[in-house]
Amino acid sequence: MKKIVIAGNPNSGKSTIFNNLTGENQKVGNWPGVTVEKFEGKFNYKGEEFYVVDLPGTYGLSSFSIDEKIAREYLIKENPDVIVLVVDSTNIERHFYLLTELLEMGKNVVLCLNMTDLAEEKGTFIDENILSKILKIKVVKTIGNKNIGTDKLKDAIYETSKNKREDFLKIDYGKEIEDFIENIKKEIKIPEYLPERWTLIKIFSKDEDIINLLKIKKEIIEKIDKISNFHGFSDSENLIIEKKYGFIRGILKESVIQKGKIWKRLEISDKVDKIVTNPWIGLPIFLIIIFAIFEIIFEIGNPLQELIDKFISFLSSSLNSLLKNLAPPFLLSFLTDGILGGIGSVIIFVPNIFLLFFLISILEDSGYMARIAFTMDRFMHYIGLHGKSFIPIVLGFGCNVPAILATRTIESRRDRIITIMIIPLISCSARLPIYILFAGAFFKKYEGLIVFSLYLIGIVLSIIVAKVLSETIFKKKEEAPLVMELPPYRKPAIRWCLKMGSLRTKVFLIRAGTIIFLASLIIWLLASLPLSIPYGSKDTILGKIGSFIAPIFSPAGFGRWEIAVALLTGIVAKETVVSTLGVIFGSENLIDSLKNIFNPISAYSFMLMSLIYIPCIATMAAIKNEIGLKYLLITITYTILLGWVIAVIFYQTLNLFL
Amino acid sequence: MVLSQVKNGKVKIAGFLGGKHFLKKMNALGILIGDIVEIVANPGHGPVIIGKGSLRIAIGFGMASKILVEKVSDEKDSNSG
Repeated sequence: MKKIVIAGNPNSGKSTIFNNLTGENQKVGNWPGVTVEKFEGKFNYKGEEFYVVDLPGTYGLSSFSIDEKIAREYLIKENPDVIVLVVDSTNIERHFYLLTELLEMGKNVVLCLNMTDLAEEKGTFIDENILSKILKIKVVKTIGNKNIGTDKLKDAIYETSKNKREDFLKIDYGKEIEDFIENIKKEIKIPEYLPERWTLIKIFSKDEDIINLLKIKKEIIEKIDKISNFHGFSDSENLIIEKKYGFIRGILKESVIQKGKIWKRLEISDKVDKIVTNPWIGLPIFLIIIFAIFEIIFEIGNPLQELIDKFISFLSSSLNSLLKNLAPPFLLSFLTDGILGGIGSVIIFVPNIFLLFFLISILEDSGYMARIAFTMDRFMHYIGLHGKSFIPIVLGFGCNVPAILATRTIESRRDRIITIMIIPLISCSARLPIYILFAGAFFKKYEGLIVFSLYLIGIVLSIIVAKVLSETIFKKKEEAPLVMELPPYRKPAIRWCLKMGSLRTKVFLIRAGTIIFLASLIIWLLASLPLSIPYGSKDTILGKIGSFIAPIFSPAGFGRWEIAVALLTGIVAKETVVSTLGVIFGSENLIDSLKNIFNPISAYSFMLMSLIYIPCIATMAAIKNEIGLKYLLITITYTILLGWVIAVIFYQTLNLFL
Repeated sequence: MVLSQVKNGKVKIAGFLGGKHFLKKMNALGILIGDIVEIVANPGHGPVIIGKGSLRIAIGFGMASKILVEKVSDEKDSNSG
């Protein structure tokens, strides 16, 4: 089996080429240690099997961003048989930068000139034969979205995979740099697995990872600085970049003909951008789009959720009546409350999550996603985040789980961690039943206002926490320059979006599902043991735990075991707080029972606690999957403390004055 | 003159004040010193969008005020600054 890697800039049409090569034969996973998605697939050609990996889209191979690090580590360690470099033919100069890096590594490269139809529409004609001769590699023209050129590409991959490339590309960097490199070569031993010429250039570029790995001495760095300063560059890598672009321009002069410069598609795209990025018009447009997504997810998703819920209840009740006389009650409860309940709490999320991923793919594919970051950037800057963090936060109002998964579009790990950590403060739809119950019982006539105030408090708290986090433990060393490429708008490829939606949902189900399932089982077990007494009553293990921790809630005005148990079961899913109270007090006189225990002040204090106290199990699972156990523990701790502190402060202060 | 001050027309990139990472990022995106770029959109306080060929780059307002530019005399534009 031959190993193939697809490389290319973001927006080069890489994933389309990957799809064309591998068809339906794909799976998605994660790159080791990071949550950047890894797409793998397979295809057969002329009796040979090819395993294909789609690298993250990168502009180069520096140690500057996670994506570039992943890409270059993979290329060095796995040493693939062929690298297919996908290039956007309408913007060939920039895309060739990555080509120079790959060729400098001495890798087997097939150059795939993609979107040649658009380039020709624009008047750019590329001579692939001349390119092939200069670069000494196979060059294939493709039109990815029409699946044109795929067979030729397969053939080029097949031919290239047969022999190793012998000659490394040698860009002439000028006498000083070349002399320097020659000297370094004698002084430093470069490990066998690193491509020599590429590594030498990286040393000169002061690439952090390479400098650390090879323990490059200070004197050498000083020498490098001297050379780049002499050429008028404060940083040596920028000198190398400049030289590379010089080389690229030379090649393109010989192989590309430019006729005219009219390009209608871009004119429309530019006009749309003038409107969308205008702060006065762009923001309302953005809010409407976000609102629409919100509506679609919950208008279409919730009925589907109910259907699944009904189906599970149906299964559970039929199982009950079927096995009533055959199985002992404990086993029956295990099957219905434990297993079915556990599975149910996982698959209930599928419709919403699929819709979310599908719609996000549409935003990405249409080109609008790149614009959103800029529209919201100014506001998000105040709380130390990036415009891209805004979408997940808004989605959190529906359900925190898809919101956390939506943070995958944020490149900066720091911003991602902060965003994920504040999402649990956003009131999800599962918290609404609690608010409705208590607002109805204690704040008749003002229910709307009370519920709205809780949503607002969640937002205010999330802004404060984000601000605090970004100024303390996540203080920025250097402001990341806000610069990004805007791909032209285009009609989203629905098939691709559906596929992305289902692939990502599948990953979520497998990874988060197991955790949610296990945790639900544990809560069920605690609530049913010992067997002789009713589910969730005072003398069950859960009830005892409730009695034990209840005094903690006394300063907040609700230090009773029933309430403690309700909060504990609420960890499984927030709406469970209501159903647990229903089980303990009996559904008929629930409101009267609550009125005996609570007064309006302690009721509001309890609602505050329910809003903040802890993310539900599904959210915890998502947090752990996305940013790891450490940040999950931090999030759990701070939400519990914050919830308690705010409930206590509220209760004590109001009791003081009223 | 800096990029954020230019509302429309074409400019030549003369330099970057934003540190070496900023320069690298711009280079990686295909914008080099000496390039002539078009101002596609500059609403005043938001991002500035520049174009070079079919390439479109959006630059945050803060960053756009760290790019030194020279006005390129167009057919319409006689003002050079």
